[in-house]
Amino acid sequence: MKKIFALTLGVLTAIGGFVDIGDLVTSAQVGARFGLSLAWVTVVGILGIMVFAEMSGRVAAASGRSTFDLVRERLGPRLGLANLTASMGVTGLTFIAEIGGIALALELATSVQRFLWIPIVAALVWLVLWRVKFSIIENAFGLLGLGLIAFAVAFWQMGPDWGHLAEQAATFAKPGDEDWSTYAYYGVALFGAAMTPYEVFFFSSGGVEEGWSERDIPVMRANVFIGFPLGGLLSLGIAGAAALTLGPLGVDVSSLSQVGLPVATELGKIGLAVALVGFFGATFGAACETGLSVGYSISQYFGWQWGKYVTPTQASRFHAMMLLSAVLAAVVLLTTIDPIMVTEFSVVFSAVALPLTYLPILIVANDEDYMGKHTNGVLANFFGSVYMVIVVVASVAALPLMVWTKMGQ
Amino acid sequence: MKETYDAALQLLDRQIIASDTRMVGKVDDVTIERQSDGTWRVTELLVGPGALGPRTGGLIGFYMKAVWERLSGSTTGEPDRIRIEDVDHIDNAVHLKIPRSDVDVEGFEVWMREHVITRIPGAK
Repeated sequence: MKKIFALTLGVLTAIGGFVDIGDLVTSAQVGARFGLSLAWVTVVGILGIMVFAEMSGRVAAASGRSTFDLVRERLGPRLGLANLTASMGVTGLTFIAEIGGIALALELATSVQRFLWIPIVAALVWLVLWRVKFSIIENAFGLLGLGLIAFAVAFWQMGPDWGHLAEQAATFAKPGDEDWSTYAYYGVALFGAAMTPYEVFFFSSGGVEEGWSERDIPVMRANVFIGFPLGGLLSLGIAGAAALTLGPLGVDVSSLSQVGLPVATELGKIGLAVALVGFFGATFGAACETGLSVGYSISQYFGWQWGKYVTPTQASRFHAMMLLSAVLAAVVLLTTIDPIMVTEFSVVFSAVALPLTYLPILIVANDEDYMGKHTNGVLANFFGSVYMVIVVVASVAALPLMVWTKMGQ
Repeated sequence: MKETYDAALQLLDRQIIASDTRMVGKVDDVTIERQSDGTWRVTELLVGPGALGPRTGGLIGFYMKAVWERLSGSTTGEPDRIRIEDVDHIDNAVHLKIPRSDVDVEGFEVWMREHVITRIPGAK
């Protein structure tokens, strides 16, 4: 019974925790402009994150080593440092975007300006990282994030023409008034949002925090193989709802209220409240995850003691880094930079940094010294290799597309 | 023990873990000494930016070491080290025989603990 409970909790957490500000904003933007014609990218992205999350989780369970620990071991100090800088840039950007997103949501709910909320939110996030137990961080916000189901419900309630949508999704039918270059740009952004590097840093470090051993591999797999696809459905629900309500109006999503509009029009105030709770849970949870990931990655590169399983005095540098990032995030956001724009940048730079994150995982998952009998099988290596190609293509294409399309305009 | 050992692959950049399971650093570099029988032997693990800087090389490596020297107050510029005698065994990490409190390679950690972390309520 206890096992079933743990399994259910893990899966629910994975569903609610799958979506973050990047997925939310990008899905809504893409839905409004491209309908479901880019839905295939979300599916490809979800499958990709499943492949590599399972791999990094297996490495953590079999060897007790988390992803960034191995990055340096396999790439050496120089390339490792370049990797650290790149991933810190992306994860830091995502961290800023999440905090900005929470502040925007609070502005929406209270009509108090976001600049007043930013320091409060940053302080709250830090307080959670400082005091709250790891398992609670992971589960509580994941469960709150389930409120995003309101989007999927709204989408269902709209009674869409399923046949038409399926055709749109299956034929990659780009709307006539959009260029192929913007189509490709948003495809890369969507892919970057689904496969953000911090997810595997957090997932594998979390495995070490919770002391996973080989016996935990089946549960870990259940979380990944059941929770992630269902979480991905939430992304598709957001895109679908945006496609049906915002698409015909020609709205180009540039603010958070537009993201929530489909739920508000379809399900009214209560629906919007549930969606807001979901939004808050998902982004606050992701803010904690990215904040932790910053601490994890730097500590793991230099070999410092890290983790929530020891007291802050035993991992002083780890906690100092997280405190510093919370302060920095607040400072950056108080320059009046637009959080939605930060989000757009973060998903594109995610796509750029992908190969640096996933290649070391693939290499180590094939190393018998670490993995013993849990070394990659044929299936994992097949998908891993296919995805390395996709990830490199997305990474190379991301920046030129961003410049060429002027960020999708 | 294995007969041959690729120190560059299997020792460098590995995590060092003290006997109380706490992490103390990475193997940033090693010192090797020639034995009388002509073989080479690893005698010390070098830990911290003082060792990592020179290994990284270039401008970044130079500043990594320079900043470390200035902040640690080191006069010799010699990196922190752990004697190989204190190593218990090596698998996917380097495990020490001694607890973390007996390893003297964490100047930055100690400074952070004393000046920042313990001053915040709830650090324990």
